[in-house]
Amino acid sequence: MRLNPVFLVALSVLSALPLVGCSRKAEQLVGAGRFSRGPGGLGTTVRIAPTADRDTYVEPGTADFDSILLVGTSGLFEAHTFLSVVKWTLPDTTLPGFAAQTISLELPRNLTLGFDPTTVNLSLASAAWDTTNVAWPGPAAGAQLGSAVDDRAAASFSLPLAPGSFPQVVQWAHNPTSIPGFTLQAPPVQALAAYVAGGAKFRIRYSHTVSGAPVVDSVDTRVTQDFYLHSPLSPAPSGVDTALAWGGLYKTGLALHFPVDSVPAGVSVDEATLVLRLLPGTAVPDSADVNARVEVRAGTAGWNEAITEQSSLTPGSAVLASGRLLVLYSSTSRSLALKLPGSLMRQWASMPAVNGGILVTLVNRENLTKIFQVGARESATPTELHVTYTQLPPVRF
Amino acid sequence: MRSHAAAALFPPAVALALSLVLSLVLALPFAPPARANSILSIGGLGEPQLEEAARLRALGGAGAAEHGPRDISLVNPASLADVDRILLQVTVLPALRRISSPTSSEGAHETTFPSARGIIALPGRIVLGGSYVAGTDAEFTVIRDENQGAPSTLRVDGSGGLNFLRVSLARRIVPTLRLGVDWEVIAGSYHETWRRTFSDSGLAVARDTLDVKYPKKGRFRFGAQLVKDAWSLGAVYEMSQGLPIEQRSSTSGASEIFTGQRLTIPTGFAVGASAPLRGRLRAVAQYRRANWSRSSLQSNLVDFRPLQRFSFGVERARAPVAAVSFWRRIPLRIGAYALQWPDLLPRSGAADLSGGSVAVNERALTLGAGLVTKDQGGGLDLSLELGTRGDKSDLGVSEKFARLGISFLVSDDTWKGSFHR
Repeated sequence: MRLNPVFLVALSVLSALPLVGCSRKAEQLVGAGRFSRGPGGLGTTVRIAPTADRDTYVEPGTADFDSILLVGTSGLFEAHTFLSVVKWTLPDTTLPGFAAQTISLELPRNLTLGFDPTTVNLSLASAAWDTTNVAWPGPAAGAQLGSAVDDRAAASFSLPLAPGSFPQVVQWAHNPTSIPGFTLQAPPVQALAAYVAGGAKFRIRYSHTVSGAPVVDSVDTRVTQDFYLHSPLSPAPSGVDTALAWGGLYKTGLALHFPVDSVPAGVSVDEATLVLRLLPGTAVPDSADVNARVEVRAGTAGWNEAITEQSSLTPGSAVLASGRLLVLYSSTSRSLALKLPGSLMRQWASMPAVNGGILVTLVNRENLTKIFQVGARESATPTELHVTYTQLPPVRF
Repeated sequence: MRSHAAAALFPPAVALALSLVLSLVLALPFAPPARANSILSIGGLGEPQLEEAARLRALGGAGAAEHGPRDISLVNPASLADVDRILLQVTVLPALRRISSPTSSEGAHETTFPSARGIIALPGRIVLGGSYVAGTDAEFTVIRDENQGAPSTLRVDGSGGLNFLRVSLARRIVPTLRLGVDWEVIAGSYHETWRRTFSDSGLAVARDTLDVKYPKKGRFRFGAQLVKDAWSLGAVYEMSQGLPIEQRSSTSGASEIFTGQRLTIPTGFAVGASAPLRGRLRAVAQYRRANWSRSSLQSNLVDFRPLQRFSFGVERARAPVAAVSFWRRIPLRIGAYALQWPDLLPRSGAADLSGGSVAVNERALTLGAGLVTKDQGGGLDLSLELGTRGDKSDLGVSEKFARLGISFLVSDDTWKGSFHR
């Protein structure tokens, strides 16, 4: 057989046309009313807005290993800083003309809070500590090594040790475990001072001669562990407060529990929004909170409104929801709205026993002294959880 | 000249096949998803599909009595008995529709693939075939505003339907008797995606799914043909099969499963005849029935009646090759069919069958022509179906449709004589 080329071309075109030329344009509106799936319709979208049936505010604990070190007092808040050194660095004492001059603790200041001059004492700690369970007030101050007034002016604060401390440092260098550690504390009623964690170091200044001329030099020893302990949350929540303190120096978070038993298990969750309403007169998020974030974790244990520490909720390590504080805040309604995962609602609805509530915390705050007063369930503007759900598609047959 | 050179390099049928494959390969990257097919596919089993190729579609689908080396039917397995080579057949079906309600109308167009088939003649006068056959088509898309609770706009995209994967055996027992058997696996499923968008921007878009599945089970179909001169009679019997169905509604993190229903693919039969009229004219007719009933599937959303298709057609066969006129060498076909869908659907505005059910009837006129390669092994057939279905009073919608059937039949001419009778 000899194939006609026209026939071949016609075949090719015809075979391609149905595939290329016929894009889908389905009926969409006309006849849409025929789409019926029983008396239940196509699913009702239900919205509920339960208020918390339990709410309080809780602190993370009295030990803080975050990026800041605090010393001093602010109202009822009091803080001590603790430092330790694993390995010391000494100057070469065999250098010609060697002479130790001064030893100081160099602390980079955190100038976002603590603006007033304050006196800071450096002492040996009276006992060692275990970071897994250390708590306020921690080891008492032992022998004082030095004291200075922090004028809160420059980027770095130098706290000199008493003259003649070099032989002590040499002993510590030879046997670091001979001392439990150091503590920075302020005399009573001294203002709060803040420093940057991870940046403290002991500096030994010394002189020696080079070619007959005196030369001043220094060596630094890095502080290998630093943290602060603060006094317990005060005033403690009573359980019937109308305001929930959120943030502040105690870094309190909100412990909230919402009853969502009415949400059926097999639904499509269209919305789960946590709405926090700020009380009149309270601080509101502003440009100083540009980096602040809100984080939500699920509580995994039962709790009551008498708790004061976050550990009582046994919050999970996973952050379920988060957002920038400024973005979440509406100045019009003076409220924050944060989306929660729908899976959490379904979990709570299907297994109310695992509903341990949520812990809402603030992180990356610039101003640690700012406290947001959030309406408690006893207030006129309680915290709400907006849940919207739609039934799953009904069956085809 | 170039094509002559190509023809010298390849056997004609191979060149034809290569041309087809090349066209498909070139077109596929640009092809939209093939979807279909009726607003009435929203419920029930979907639009019943006619699996036949364009040649028989042009005759109203009357294929039970077809026989010959290339005159094959997907309805009757016995029609394969005279095949004496390898045949490959593919059918595509672009369609235009106009959907009308009492208040408005809307157009739609889509392309479907009703069937594909491969056949090989084996020693011992046995012919073996394999095919994909579309049973029903449940493609649809609807967009509709919902006001139950928070206002939303719901878009539902449906897909799937009943499909069959078929293995066929046929043999000419004596010159007048041909027998065939199909073993077909009932496949397919139904899938719907529900996308709900809320007017309240605080609500997330919900994307849920609904899946209807059933285990793949097989059934037999038996066919026979009696042929005497230009007369032929054909008959087919289909066995039934029960399928437990599972319906699963799902969303992210949650699902509900509904079981306990059983879909019974019923018994069915088809009888047809082909009779000479005069000269190159012949007439074909067929009655096909599948015994769907209320017991086929217990549901408040769809009831069933027997599927019945009445087909009739007249064909003017192509003149001998020696005829001088090109048009006289083109076969012409005209036909008609009336189809009673098995689905009995809720009345317009009703949520279920409690207010009664409405039948869907479909009627169409069919036309067609074709080209045959000189070895008479392959060819191209075209059909045009113009029809209506539904009604505005009881169903709330009616449809007018125009379907262009395009079938390619490719044979391996070199096979002939080397491995069979």
